[in-house]
Amino acid sequence: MTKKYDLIVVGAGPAGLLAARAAAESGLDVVLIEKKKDPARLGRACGQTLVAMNERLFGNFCNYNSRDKLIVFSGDGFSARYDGPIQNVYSVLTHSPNGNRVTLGDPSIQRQKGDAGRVAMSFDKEVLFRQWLEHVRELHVEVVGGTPVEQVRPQADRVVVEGGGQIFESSYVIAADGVNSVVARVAGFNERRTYYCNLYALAYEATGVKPPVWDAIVRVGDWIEGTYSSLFIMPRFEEGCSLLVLVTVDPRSNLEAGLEYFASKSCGASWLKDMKKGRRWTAVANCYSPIEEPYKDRILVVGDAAAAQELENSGAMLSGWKAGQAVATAVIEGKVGQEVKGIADYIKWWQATYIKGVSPEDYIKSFAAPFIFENADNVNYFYGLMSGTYPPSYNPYSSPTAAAMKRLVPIIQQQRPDLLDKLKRRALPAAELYAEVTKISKPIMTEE
Amino acid sequence: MSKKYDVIIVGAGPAGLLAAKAAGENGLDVALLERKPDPTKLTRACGQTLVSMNEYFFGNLCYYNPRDKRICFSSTGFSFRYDGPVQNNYNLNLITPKGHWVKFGDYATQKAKGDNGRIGLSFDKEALFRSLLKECKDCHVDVFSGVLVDRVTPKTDRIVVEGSGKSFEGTYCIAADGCNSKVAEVMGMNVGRYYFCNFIGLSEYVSGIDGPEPDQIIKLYAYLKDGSPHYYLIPLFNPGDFNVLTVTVDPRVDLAGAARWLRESSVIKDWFKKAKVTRRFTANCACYSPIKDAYKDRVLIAGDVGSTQELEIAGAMLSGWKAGQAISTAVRENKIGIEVNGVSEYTKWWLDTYINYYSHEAYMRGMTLPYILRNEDEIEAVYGLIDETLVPCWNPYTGSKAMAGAMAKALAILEKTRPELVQRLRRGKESHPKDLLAEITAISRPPGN
Repeated sequence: MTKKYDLIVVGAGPAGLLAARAAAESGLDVVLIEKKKDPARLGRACGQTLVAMNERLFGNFCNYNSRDKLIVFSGDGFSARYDGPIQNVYSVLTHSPNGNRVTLGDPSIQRQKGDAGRVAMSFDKEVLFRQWLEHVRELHVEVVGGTPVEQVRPQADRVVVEGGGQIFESSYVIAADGVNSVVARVAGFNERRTYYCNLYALAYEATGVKPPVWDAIVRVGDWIEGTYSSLFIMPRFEEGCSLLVLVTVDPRSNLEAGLEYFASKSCGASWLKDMKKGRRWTAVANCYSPIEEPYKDRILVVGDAAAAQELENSGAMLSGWKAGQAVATAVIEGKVGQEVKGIADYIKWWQATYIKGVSPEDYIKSFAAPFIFENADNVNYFYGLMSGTYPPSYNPYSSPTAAAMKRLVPIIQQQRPDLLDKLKRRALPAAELYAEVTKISKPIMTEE
Repeated sequence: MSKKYDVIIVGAGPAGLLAAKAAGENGLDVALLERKPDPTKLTRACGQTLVSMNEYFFGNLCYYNPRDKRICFSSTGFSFRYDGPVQNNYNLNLITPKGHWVKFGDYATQKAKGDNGRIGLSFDKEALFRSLLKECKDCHVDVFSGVLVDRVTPKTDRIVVEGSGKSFEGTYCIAADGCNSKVAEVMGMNVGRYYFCNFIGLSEYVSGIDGPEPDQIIKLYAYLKDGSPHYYLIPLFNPGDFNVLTVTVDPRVDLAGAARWLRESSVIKDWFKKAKVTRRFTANCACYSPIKDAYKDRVLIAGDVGSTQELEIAGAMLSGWKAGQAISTAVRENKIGIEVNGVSEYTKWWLDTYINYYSHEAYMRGMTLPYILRNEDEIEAVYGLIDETLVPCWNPYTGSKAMAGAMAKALAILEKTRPELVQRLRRGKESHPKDLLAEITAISRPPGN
C-alpha cells in the first residue's frame, strides 16, 4: 500500500524547498519530488541573484545577514541559511547597441554604503540547493530525485501524483515545478491563461571578463541577424568572474551566435575579448499571464509555476514559504476540527501581493524592446537622450527612469514624432506587443 | 564609548527572547538585558502552558511538532525549537467548592484524538529559556544578565537604557519586561491606563497527587476567611505531578495558607494525601487596561508589557517575534534611507489582533466572580445547575463565552428560586469590571509603588 503523506511538494527549487521546510517544521509528513537525478545540481540557466535588495518587493526587504549567513525576509518574518559565496551588486548599467548607457545607481556612492547600498546580490544556487536539501532532510522530508511528474489525479480526500514509475498520495500538493509547470498543465490551471511567448536563455560561467563596472549588472541589447537578444553580465565572486546570461523571446535567435557577436562586434566586445567560458546552462521558459486562482482540488500552484515568466528567486522563496505554512495551517485546522482557512489566506496574499500588488504584465514587457523600437538606430537615439544616472534599483516592477522619460516626451515629439508613436506601443497589452513572436512560438512541454 | 546596538531588548522572557532571535536573524546588533542573574532560571509563578491549542488565538493555531520538537505558529509563519518535556492537556474541569464539576471538553473524547484533542500543552519554561537563549546566541545576540533597567532616555537618534550600573545605547528599544514593566513606567506609557488590581499567585510543583487524570486541568474556586482565591492544577510531566497555582486578586489572601487549605481542607483534599511540594514560586502582576499605542520615542512594547494582566505565553511569543521583525524592517529602512514603515506595521497588528479583537474587560471580568457570587452556597446554586459538557477549550476568551452560554440556561431556572442572584449576575455582566473590583482596587497598588 502507498504511504499517504500530508503534502507532496513537486519541484525542489527555491519555492519547493522552502515550502517543504515550512510544512515539515509544522510537523507535516512531506515528500519532495524533483525531476533532476541530483537535486543539488543546477540544471538550467538562472541569474542566481536576489533582486530589489534596496526596496520592498512583495511586502519584504529581502536581505542577507552575512554575520550569521542567513537570507532574511523581515516582512513575513523568516530566514534561511545560506553560507555560500556572495557578491553585492551596486548598480545596473544598460546599454543601447552603440554603447549609450543608462545607469541605475552610482556605483561608487552605492559601494560606499556597503550592504545598505546593494541593489542585488549574486549567490551560488547549487550551494543554496545543497544546504536547503540538507535542512529539509533534517526535518524528515523525504527527497525523491529523478522523478519527473507526469500525472496528477485529485480524488475526494487525496491527490495521487504519478511520475518516473512511482505513485505518491497525499492530502495536498504544492506545485513548485517552475515556469513550465507540468502540474499546472495537467491539472488544468493553464486553460485560462494567455500565452505570450517563450523566453530563451543561455548562460555561461566565465572568467577574464572586464565589464566597465565589475560589481554591477551590465546589460546590452542588440539585433543580431535580424533578431534581438540581450546579454546580462552579472558579477560572480571574484573580480573577472562573471555569469553571462543571454536572453531572447524570439525563437529564431541563435544565442550561441549571439554571444559570439557580443564578444566580437557589439559595443561590449572589449569587455569580453579575453573571456574564458566555463559551465554552460540553457533554459526555455513559457511566458503566460499569471494564475489568478492558484488553488483547486487540493493542489496549490506556487512560485514561478503560477507566475508570468518568473517571480525572481526572492519571490519564489516567499511564495514557497507562505504556501508551506498555509498547507500546514490547513492540515492542523483539519486535525483539530476548525474551519479550514489556511489556504484561503495564501490565495488572498497571492492576489493582493502579486496579481494586484505588482504588474505581472510589465514584467513580461521588460523584454519588448525589439517590438517597440524596431531597430538599433531608434534605441541608440532614445538611450542617447536618456543616458545618465538614475536612482539605484534592480527591480523588475519599478522604473526609476519613468519621470525622466516623461520629461523627454516634448523633445522626442519635436525631433522624432514617429518614435513617440512607437513608444506608445508600450501601453499595449503584452499579447498584442508580442504578436509577432506569439505567432511562431508555442509553449514547451518538457525541457532538457 | 559604549557600543551602539541596533536594538536593546529589555526582558528575556518568551517575548524578549523571540524578539531577540528575530532581530538577530535579520543581522541586527542586539543586546538582550535580563534582570535575573541566571536567565535560564524560572523565578516567578507561571502556568507554563501553551493555551488554546485547538483554536485560533491571536490569529494563530499554535501547534507543537513532536517529531522535530518545534513550537509552531504556521499562520504567522514561524517556528522554533523546544526540546524539553511536554504534556498534552485534554480538558479543563471547573470544580465548585462543594465538588460539582463543570467540564470544558469530555476528557475521554479529547484524549482519544491524541495530539489533535489537546486543548493545552504543558511545557518546562526553563527548558524553553535554555533553548531560545541558545538560538539567540547562535545569531550573535549579546545577553547581559543581572541588569535591572531603571532608566530609559530617548534622544533624537538613539536611546540610552541604564540599570545596575551599566549603560547601553541603541537605535531602538523593545520593552519585553513583563506585566510590571519598568520601561513602560519610566517612558510614561502607563499614563492613561486604568489600574484594576494586582493578580497575585503562588505556584507549587506538587508530586504524588492521586485523583485527577494525569492530563487534565483542574480549576477550583474557594471562599476563605481572608478572601477568595482560585486554583489551577496543571499537569506536569510525570503522572501525579502537577503545577498547583493558587491565585487571587485580593491582596488580603495569604497565598501559602490558601495553598495549604486546598491540600488539607478543600473538597479535593483526598488527592493530596501523599503529595509533596517540590518547588515554589510567587508572582505579583499589575492589571491595567492595555497600552493602545505600542510605540513611543524609539520604544516598542512586546508581550505582557502592554496587555491587561497577560497575553498568555503564545501571545507573548507572537508579539515578541513580530516586534523583532518590525524593528528589523525599520532598521533596514533607515539604513537604505527610505521611509520607515516597519514599526507602524507592528502597531497596526497590535491594534487589530489584540486591542480591537479581544475585550480586556471580558478578560478582567473573569476575575470578578467572587464579588458577584459571594459564598460557597451562591456559586453552588448557579454552577450546580450546569450539567452539560461545554466546548473543549483552554482559552480565556472562549471559556468565558462558553460559560456565559451555559449560565443563560441556568438563569432561567434561578429566576424563580434565587432572583437576587440572577439580578446580581445581570448587574455583573453589565458593569465595568473596574466597578466590580472597586473593593479590591481600593486596597491594592501596583507592585514597585
